[in-house]
Amino acid sequence: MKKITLFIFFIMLISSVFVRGHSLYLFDISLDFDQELKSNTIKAAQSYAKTVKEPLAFDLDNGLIIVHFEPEQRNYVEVNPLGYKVQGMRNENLKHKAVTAKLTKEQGFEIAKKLFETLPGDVESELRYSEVSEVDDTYFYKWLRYTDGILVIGEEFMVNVDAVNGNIIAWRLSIFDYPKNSILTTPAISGNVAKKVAELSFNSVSADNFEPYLVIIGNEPVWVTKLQGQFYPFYIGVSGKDGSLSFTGVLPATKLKTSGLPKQI
Amino acid sequence: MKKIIALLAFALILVSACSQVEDEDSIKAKKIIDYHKKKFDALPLSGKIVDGIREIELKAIQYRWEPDTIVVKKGETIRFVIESVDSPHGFELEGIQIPGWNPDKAINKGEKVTLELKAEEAGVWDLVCTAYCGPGHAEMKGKYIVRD
Repeated sequence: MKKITLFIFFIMLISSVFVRGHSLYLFDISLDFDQELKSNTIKAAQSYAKTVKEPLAFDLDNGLIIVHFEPEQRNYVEVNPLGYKVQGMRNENLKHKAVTAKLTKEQGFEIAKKLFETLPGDVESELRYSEVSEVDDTYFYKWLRYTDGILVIGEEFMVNVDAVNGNIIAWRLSIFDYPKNSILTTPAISGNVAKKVAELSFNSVSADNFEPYLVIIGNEPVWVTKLQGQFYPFYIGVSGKDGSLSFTGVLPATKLKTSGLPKQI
Repeated sequence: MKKIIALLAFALILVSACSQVEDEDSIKAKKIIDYHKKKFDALPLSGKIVDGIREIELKAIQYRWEPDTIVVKKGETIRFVIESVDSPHGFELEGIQIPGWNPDKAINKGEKVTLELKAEEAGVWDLVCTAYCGPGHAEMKGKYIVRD
C-alpha cells in the first residue's frame, strides 16, 4: 500500500512538471561539477532534516534539488540552489502506523494553513487556496499562484497532512520564476482574436461552448483555446503578447482541466 | 405589423454587427499569422553543407545553446557537432529520437559529440539540456525548426 501511495504522490509531484518538458525533472543528477553548489545544498538539507547523514542521491524537481536521505522517496528535502533555501520535504517516517480516528479535511486544513502562514508575505499574498484531495489516509492541500487574478502555470504550494496523526509529512513551494512586477498580465490581443489564430492556424473549428481564457506561462499571458480536431479536441495556447503559438495538444497543467473558481473549505 | 418589421430590422442590424466583429477578429488573426510566417521564413538556414550533409556546430554553455535557433530543410541529413563548454550538459530534441543517442548521457566539459539524423518531418521542436548543469538549467532551451 505504501508503495502505491508513494507512486501516486510521485505522479502528483511530477504531473505539473512534465508539461514543461522532462528536462525539468531529472533522476539521479550529479552535482560533482560544482562542489560549492553540492556542499551548500547538502548543508541546507541536513540542517532542515536535523541529520548528519550523507545524501543517497539527488534528483531535480523543476529547479529544486531533491536531496534523498532514504531510498524510494521516503525521506528527502528540496533545496532551491539559488540561495539554498529549503522549499519542500517529504518524510514517510512521520506517517501513521495504524488507522485510528481520522481528522476531518477541515481539521487537516487548519494544520496546513499554519504552515502556509509561515511563508514570506509576498509569496503568501500571491497564493490562493485551490483544493484538497485524499490519498491513502492523507490530505493534499494545494494553493495556486495568481497574478492579477490570472493563474500562473506550474507555480504552487502543497501541504500533505497525515489524516490520522496530523503530522505534515510533505510540503513543497514551487520556485516563482518571475516576480509579480515583471509578469505581463494585460494581453495585446483579445481572446476572440486568439481563438481565430488557433482556428486558422490549424484549419479547424473551436470546440463547442469553449471560451478562451488567460493563464500566465513564464512571465507572459497566454490564451488557452480548444479546437475540435478530426478525432478528438485539443488545446492551443496563443501568446497574448504577440499571437504566436505557445503550446499545442495538451494543457500545460492537468489542473487546468478543472479550471474554475477555487474550491473553498 | 410595423412593430414586427422594426424588430426584424433591428435583429438584422444586430446580426450584421456581430458578423462585422467576427470579420475584424479574423482579419487581425490573419495579419498575426502572416507576420509570424514571414518572421519564420526569414530565418536563415543553420550551419554549412559538408559532403551533402548539413553540419551544425552547437555549443552548450551555462545556460544557453549557441546558436539557440537551428533551421534546416526537410529531407536533409543533419550532423550536429555538440561541444560542452563549461559543465556537463545533455542534448535532446524533444519528441525526436536520434539514432544511437541516449539523451540521458551527459556531455562532459570540453567533450565533443557528433550526431546525425534525417530531418524527416517539418515542424518546430524544443532543444533542451538533459543533464543538470546548475541553477539556470531550466532556461537552457532552443528551437529546432525543420522547414518544408
